[in-house]
Amino acid sequence: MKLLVVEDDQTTREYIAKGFTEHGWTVDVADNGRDGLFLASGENYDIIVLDRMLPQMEGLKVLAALRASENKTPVIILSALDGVDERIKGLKQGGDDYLCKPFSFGELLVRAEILTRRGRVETTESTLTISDLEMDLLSRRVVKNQIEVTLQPREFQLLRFLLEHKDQVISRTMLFESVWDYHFDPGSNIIDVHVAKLRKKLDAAGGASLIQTVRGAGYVLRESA
Amino acid sequence: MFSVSRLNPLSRLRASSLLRYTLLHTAIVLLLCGSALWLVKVYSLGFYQQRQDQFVLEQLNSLASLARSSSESEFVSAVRQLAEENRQVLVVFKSSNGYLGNLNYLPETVPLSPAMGSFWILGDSVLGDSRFQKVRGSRINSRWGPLVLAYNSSDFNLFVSRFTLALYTAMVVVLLVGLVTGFLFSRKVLARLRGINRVTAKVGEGQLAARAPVSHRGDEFDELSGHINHMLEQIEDSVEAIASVTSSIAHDLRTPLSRLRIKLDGYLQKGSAGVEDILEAQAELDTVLHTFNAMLELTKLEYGQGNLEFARCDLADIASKVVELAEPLAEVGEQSLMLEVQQALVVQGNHQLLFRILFNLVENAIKYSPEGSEINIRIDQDSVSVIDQGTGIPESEQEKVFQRLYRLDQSRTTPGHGLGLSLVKVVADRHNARISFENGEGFFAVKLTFQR
Repeated sequence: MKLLVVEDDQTTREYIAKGFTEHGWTVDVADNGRDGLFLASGENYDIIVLDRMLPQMEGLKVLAALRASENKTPVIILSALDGVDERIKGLKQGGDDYLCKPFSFGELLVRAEILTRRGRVETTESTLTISDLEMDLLSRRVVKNQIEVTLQPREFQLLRFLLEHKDQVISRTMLFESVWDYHFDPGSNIIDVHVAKLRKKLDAAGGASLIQTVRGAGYVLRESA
Repeated sequence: MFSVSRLNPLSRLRASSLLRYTLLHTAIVLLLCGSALWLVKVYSLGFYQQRQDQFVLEQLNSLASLARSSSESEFVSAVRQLAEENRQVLVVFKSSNGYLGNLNYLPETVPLSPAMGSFWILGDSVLGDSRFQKVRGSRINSRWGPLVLAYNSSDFNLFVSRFTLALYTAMVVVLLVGLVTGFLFSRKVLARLRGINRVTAKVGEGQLAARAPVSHRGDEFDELSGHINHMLEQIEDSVEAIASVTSSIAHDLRTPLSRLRIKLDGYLQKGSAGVEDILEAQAELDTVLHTFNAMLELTKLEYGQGNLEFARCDLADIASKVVELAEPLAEVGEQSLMLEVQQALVVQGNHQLLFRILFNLVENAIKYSPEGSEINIRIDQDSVSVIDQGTGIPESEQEKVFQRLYRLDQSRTTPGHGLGLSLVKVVADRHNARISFENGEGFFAVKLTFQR
């Protein structure tokens, strides 16, 4: 996997580069918009992480130029501009995802991985499984430890999202955005309550508890070690 | 910034509308009065002169017919009698024996009757007045010799000269009064403009509390002042809001930030930090960021930055999603969450924001109601109410709860950043919705009423 980070803040840039390198990615960096556009047009990247307020050429301009030249590389906009209108602007300009600063590296990584997976054939699978849990997307049935678990529609979506991103740490914000489709920080422990409820239902069927809480980060669905 | 006061006094005078308005005003008044007086003069004096001319011609006519029908001696005595008895006319007759009448010469320039002409006489001999005077007369050439008859206009001339003098005096008075009233009037008008100018200059220097003077006349100047003052109030409010947000941020963030500092200090002294320590510090920092973002967002929303996308929003639909999201939270306290749609309510609005504030209200209700109680969302034709069985908000506090970071004493111990109701208020404002509270027997309701 090849990544381009266009970010003028050195600390952030190195933090991202180091993190992705550790996860086996090849990372190129640029500290201004013009270099970023140059690299992005020349090389073949899997993901571009693009800051908005950049010297020499603004992030959204880089993005617009890239999209105008038919370059379809997925772009994650990373910005301190966090208003709903700013997000909309970024996504309308051709961004594939929008992450606000401050951000957690885990979330950026997950988002990048989701974007690289997008477009690959995965919808043909009609069942998602992990350990003793199986979800049938067509009949909307969930079986855990050979016992059928009845889920509310939202719980089903929640579990499906976790299953689709198993072994990845998903933040509360990501869950809220993806499962409920609302873009704000709900602030309270509302996501925790929903996850707890889902976990309780799954655990009631017996077997290993699969939804794990990662303190300070979010949740992960994984086979317990 | 453009400033008149930088110019030298002469240019300043020339630049001033005061001078221009005064002169213009005076010129207009002068022109009007002058024309009026001139018309009076032409009509009244002209009429008088016409009558005099008529009199002269009638006298001449009768003399002419007398000359035809009488002998020379009879005519001469008639002329002499006229000259002596009628003080209104001047007459001179050139007979074969010389000049007869009031004058001792026959003015050759006077035209024949019925034409009239004027000539000069030295009034001394006939008029008892030593000045040269202009008189109007006419001439006949009778059988016995030429005769000129003129109107004795010494009284009339005196009247005309007095009249003219009065006229000029009047014009001078008009000029003076015009200048003075023009000056005063313009000064008054401009004084109000200057008042407004002073205020805008002050505001330019940063004195936002300055206000333009408003009289009780309700004229255009008051309207202008009113608009300016309204504008200033808005600006002042914004500035104040920014100042208060800044100070609240400073105040509210200082506490968690100092806690964070203390924690970091502790790790430093310990020489190491475990995962638990770091997680604690991170949670502290998250609180700060959360409050910070919430405040920024509020300010942005409140001051209309960023265009919100408005669409048709079905509040029953939004409310059912809110219920779905909040239900597990209510279940924790064994509270029941009910949605009661009495009538469909569809408004133009921003779905995300309406969802958020409704969620906020429901979340508050859950947080502040006793275990096992019931929370109702009721929708009717123009409002959404969230009704709970909690203690509610005391009336004395109801205005304050919309303030940034304001929290009721009783709620200080529960988690939250004190911005939820501020957001509700701001979003309601942007949707032209009114918020009202109702403290009832065993229930408390927050009602959002939309304007239809």
